[in-house]
Amino acid sequence: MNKGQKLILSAVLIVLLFVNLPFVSACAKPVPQVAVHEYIIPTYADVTGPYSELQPIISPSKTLVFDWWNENVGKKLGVKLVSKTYDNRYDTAESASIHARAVVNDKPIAILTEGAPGVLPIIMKVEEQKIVVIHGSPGSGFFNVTEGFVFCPLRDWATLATGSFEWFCEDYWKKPQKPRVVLTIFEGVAGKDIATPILMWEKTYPKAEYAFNGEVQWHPANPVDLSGLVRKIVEEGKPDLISFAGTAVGSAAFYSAMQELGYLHKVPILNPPNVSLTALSEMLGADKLEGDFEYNGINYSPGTEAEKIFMNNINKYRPGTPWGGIGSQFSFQVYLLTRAVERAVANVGSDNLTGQALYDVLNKGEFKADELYGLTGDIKFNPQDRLAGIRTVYVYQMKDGKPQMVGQHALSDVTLSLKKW
Amino acid sequence: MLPSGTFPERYEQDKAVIRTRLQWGLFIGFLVFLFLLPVFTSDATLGILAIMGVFMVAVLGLQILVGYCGQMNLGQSAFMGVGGLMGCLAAMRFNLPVEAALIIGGLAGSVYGLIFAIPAIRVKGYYLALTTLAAQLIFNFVFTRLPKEFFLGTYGGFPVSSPRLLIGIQLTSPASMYYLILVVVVIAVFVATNITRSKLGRAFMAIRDNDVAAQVMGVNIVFYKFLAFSICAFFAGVAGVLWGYTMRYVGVEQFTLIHSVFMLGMLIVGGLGSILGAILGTVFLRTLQEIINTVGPSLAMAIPQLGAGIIFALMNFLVGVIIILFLIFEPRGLSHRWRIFQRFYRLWPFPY
Repeated sequence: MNKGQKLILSAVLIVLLFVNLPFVSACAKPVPQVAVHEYIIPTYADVTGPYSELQPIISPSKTLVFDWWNENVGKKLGVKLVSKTYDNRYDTAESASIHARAVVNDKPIAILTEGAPGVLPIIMKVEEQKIVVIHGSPGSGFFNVTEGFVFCPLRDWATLATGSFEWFCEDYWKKPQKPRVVLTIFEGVAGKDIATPILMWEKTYPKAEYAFNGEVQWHPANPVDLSGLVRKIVEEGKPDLISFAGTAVGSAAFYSAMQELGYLHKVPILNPPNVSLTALSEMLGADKLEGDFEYNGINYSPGTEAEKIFMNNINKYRPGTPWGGIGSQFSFQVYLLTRAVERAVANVGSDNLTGQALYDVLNKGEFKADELYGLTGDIKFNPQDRLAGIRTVYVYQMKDGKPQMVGQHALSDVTLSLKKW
Repeated sequence: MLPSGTFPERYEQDKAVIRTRLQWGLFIGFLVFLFLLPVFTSDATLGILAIMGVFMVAVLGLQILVGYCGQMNLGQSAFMGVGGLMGCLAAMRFNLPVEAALIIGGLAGSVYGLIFAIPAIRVKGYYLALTTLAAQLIFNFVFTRLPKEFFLGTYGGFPVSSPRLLIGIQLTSPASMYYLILVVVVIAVFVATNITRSKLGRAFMAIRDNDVAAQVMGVNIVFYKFLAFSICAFFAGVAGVLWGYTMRYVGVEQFTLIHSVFMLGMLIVGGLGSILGAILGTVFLRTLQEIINTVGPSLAMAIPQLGAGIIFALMNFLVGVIIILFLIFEPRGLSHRWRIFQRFYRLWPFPY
């Protein structure tokens, strides 16, 4: 065989190899037992905005659940949920813009949102587009559209906060005099939406005393220094408990002022779920938070099925990510979605999943605690009240550097933001 | 510079914006293209163009005040907010058509803008910027404290239903919203262009170049400054109503200082003192933002190890670098670059 013949033969062999490669690889692959249908689930998240520091905890916590479910449940059902994150920078204009794009490009059956700006511009649109939205944090009064497509399983801020106040007054303090509570909330529409029903609730709840005649102490959403406010609320208010509701930046400024003025660990602070003890201990160090509290709609105590799945898989995504208030909230958002998908598949099949099919199972649906991987108690959605969902608020306290559940309290069936006072 | 062979013989011809048949043909062709766009493009693109159009109307107003009259304004977003909230509120409460909402929104923005024209009589430059900053703060302060009955039962904002035209047609699809915004943008460009070519525009420019000299020449600077603010805020108010209808929700927290700064950025990138600059700047910055929105999620899916946070931060950083480079190499904005291109085209093949 001369040099030219060798060259031709090698060329023919290479061509044959390429031609046969797809066939060979197809033969080598195991034949899937069920055809898998992919559905893209967009998340509108604040990746580079004011809540960006929470994203390193939220993002792996969610991706992990998607991957775990696809591998363990989705495969059998013939469904693969593909998570796609969009950065809305906590801005409604960006959310509107990415929504226009996501609806066409991803053809989503459901959207996951992580903050109010992600929801506001799409509340009315998703109803027409038949796309279910599951909101990951507690909602606000303006999310509530009767028979709407936006679901807030973690209820609203006011209902959760007052539930935790009731626990403090009825189960935690055993002293004869009424405990004094100071409420400080960030300025803005959302802050007002939280504060007003709480103040109305205070008037009807006689088991506590309220400093400043039941007035809210407002603080800026992104403060630099809160020492003036802290001095006022501690020295004039003489509180047994300070309930601080604000952004991550606000919490950092608040704790800094408490430390500088020497009040830290002298008056307990009740933190909101959006800036949980877990996230705060990442930001400020756990020692600063020792003895402080958090209220949350999620049970993130060790030993739940969700916690086990998280612990077994998190190292594949971001080793060292803590399991706690923030990660569990947004894991729960995905778990709830997957449960709805499972029910919808049973109704319409894996190839016919639509937003309407998901809506139908969520709209009047009841989800039992054992279905929700131990993260919450029973959930019951109400078509007339989109802020209906969980029935229990959990209270955590930082002990020995870790948040530990110290109590739970049944929530009112009536959503406070919507109650006709 | 006029195209070769163009010799105006009448004053009307001399003043015309569009002078040759070719220019008319291109202009009409461009309008037809814009009106036919929904036929061959997706709803996603229409949604993006709609938001671009809303910003364009607000930036055109800002161009009249900042670019032509030389008055600094950091409160455009607040003017937009007042217009949007009041216009949409009137439409929802009294079931008004979109045309009425646009006028009410424009007037509400205009009235609010007039309040902040008062300091402009005495102060200018950085000091005026600070007083217009107050427009933003007062807007947030007042509107978050209004009772919820004022906002149809919720605090500081409310859902907005799809717009209805005076003739009864309900605009529900992305294409119909695009047409509504396109019509408003065309009218806004027409009005803004003619303002700048009129006595009004020349008075604005005289104030911008030297307000003392303008006054000496008989320009009533108090009146014209008031007028510039009210025109600017009218445009912003109209944009606010369009925003409400586009988002289908309008609320106080949607109109932040960062949006005012972003709109000023659009002006600077596009070129101060040019209507075309306002359009090009808006298109340029919104397009960059859309590139992030498109490429970012896909990159985050393709390289999950890197993390969405790093990818999106890098993308934003890249946009920042592009804007900085742009301002270094073309500080007079995109409109200037366009004029250079026009001159080059008309003189070609001669170098000068």
